[in-house]
Amino acid sequence: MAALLEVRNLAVEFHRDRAVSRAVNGVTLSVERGKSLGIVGESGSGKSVTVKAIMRLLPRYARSASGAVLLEGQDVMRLSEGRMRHLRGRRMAMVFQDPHAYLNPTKTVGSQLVEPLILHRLAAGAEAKRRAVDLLRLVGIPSPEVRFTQYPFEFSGGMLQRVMIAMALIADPDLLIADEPTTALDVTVQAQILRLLRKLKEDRGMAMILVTHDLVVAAQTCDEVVVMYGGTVVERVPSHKLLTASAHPYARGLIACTPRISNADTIPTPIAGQPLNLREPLPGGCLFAARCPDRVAQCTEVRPQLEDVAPDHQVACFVAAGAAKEGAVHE
Amino acid sequence: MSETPLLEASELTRRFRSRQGVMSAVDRVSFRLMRGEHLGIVGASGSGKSTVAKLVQRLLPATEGHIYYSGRDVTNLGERALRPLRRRIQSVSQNPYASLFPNKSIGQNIVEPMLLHRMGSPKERMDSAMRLMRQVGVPSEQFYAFPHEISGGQQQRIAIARALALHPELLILDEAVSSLDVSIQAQILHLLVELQGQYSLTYLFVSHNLAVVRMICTQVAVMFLGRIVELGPVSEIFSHPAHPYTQALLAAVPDFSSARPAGADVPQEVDSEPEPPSPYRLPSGCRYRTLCPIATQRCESEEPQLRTVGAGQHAACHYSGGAEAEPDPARTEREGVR
Repeated sequence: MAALLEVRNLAVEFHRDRAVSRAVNGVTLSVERGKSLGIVGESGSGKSVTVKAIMRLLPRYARSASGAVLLEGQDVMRLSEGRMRHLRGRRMAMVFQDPHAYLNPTKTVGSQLVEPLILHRLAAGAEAKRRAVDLLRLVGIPSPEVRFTQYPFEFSGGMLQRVMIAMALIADPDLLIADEPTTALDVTVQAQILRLLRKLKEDRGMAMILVTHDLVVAAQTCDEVVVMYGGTVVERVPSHKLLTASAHPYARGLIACTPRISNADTIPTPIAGQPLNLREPLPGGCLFAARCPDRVAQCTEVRPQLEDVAPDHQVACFVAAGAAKEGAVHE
Repeated sequence: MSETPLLEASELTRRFRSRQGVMSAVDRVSFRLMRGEHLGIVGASGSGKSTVAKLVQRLLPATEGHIYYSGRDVTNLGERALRPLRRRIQSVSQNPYASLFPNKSIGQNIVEPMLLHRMGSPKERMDSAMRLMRQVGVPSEQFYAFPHEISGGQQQRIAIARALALHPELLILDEAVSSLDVSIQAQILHLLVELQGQYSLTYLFVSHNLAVVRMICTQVAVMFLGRIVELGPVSEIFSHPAHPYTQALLAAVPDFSSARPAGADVPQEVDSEPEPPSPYRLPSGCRYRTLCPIATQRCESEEPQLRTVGAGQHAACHYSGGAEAEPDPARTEREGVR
């Protein structure tokens, strides 16, 4: 099946104060209709920049050095701003980490839900209000008629995130992108929001991209996961394999250093060294080589590309890919 | 033989007044922290855990109740009398960059508290700062680097080094690893455990991350809307939580064991958001009862107090273990999961 969204070799640089920051350095990924993809990585891995580039929401000083973002074959990077505006919301919509930053504190939640309905010419008047109330109900907000008339400050963080999700669903998008939607929330609320996202994705046959720093959240919520490091995808793996059978040394390192409540007698093993400084020229070989426990000579010379270790599992690592090939030969 | 606790809070209360009325951010909180023990305070945002940390540091005056340090009532000490105490209690906050002087080098940041407390000669202070930097894993060649020139993990190391400069007894860590990436967080956790032993420190560790608390602490206090609802040894509470809120909290932590297999369960219903009570209008009786799956009439009329439910374990619930209620089978099953 052809992918709904395909990102090919995307690179993004930030030019500011005569300094260059190489945030994304050749990302390739795809999402099929009705499927969910998790993008995981630490701060500075480029996961947020990647999805903002997909939505064309990057600031002016960002430059896309190369690559293509294809939505059903159409390159959104070449669309005019007017065409893009038509596409945002209808084809792909986004939910952010901090709802407070995206809602107008001086307007009621209801009026902010009705506005895009009118803007996209989907409904007006009493019909718009009815649809907005229905959306609030759909995302699990109790007494939606009352909530419609209230202001953002009268909502809790989890409730506001539900409002943001309702807003993203207004024009019935094919792809919902959620960028750290639960990071600012308490664990009990996080669990509810993740359940809601999964349910909505399933009911509406929507594709979803979930950006998160939490591997366990990604594994629980998505069908597939890509792991990013230094603005590149180092591994693409089905989510049921992520925690137990990931192949890239960075992915395995991340899993080993994630605190586990069920196994808290041992303190997690840290990854040696410091994250990549993207303001400095990138190293020639593998970006993770300096911190990698499995490094071989080749790693500092050539940048590894994603290779199959299984039909549904790719990894950008000479050592891991080599081991998989050897395993296949022995079988 | 009862030993004097290093830190004791007794019926500590802090009320805030706003246009919406009066709310108790911390409500009659009592705990004893023995020397060499490490107390974790966990709870949702707004539960009052950070306010407790501020109260015991005397950064915020208590409305009611008392704070004892090594048996001495320090609740109303004046600033001058507090100075020696400030030296014995140091803290590390969530945002290392905000807590370091941006216009001083990282070395000078560590020297600063020693200077304020007139410790040693300039040479001794500098040596001691260099030693601390090495201790926390920042090369001492970086003495003259500025906070903005080093990474977040390094900044947090420097904040810890600065807190250690005065040889404190009690270290208050308020979400000290929360803003760090996991690979860096693990490094800092290792450092914190190493320092615990080396400097015979006592930690008061405020965090919303239960897994991290389980690793660092020996005792844990679970807070809900200003009250401690469960208190006791980490080993007991994490293996068999007694309070329904603690149970809900633990069940919500995403864990490896709960990672779903391929294509598994899609939730059938959109669960609507259960609304926690407003701190300005608390329900009668137990404040958790509107969210509690096992609440009864009694929870409405009578506020449960902390009582012993197991070995050193205390819970503020009418129906948690102990002699009060016979364990009902459904409940035991639920608890048995953890």
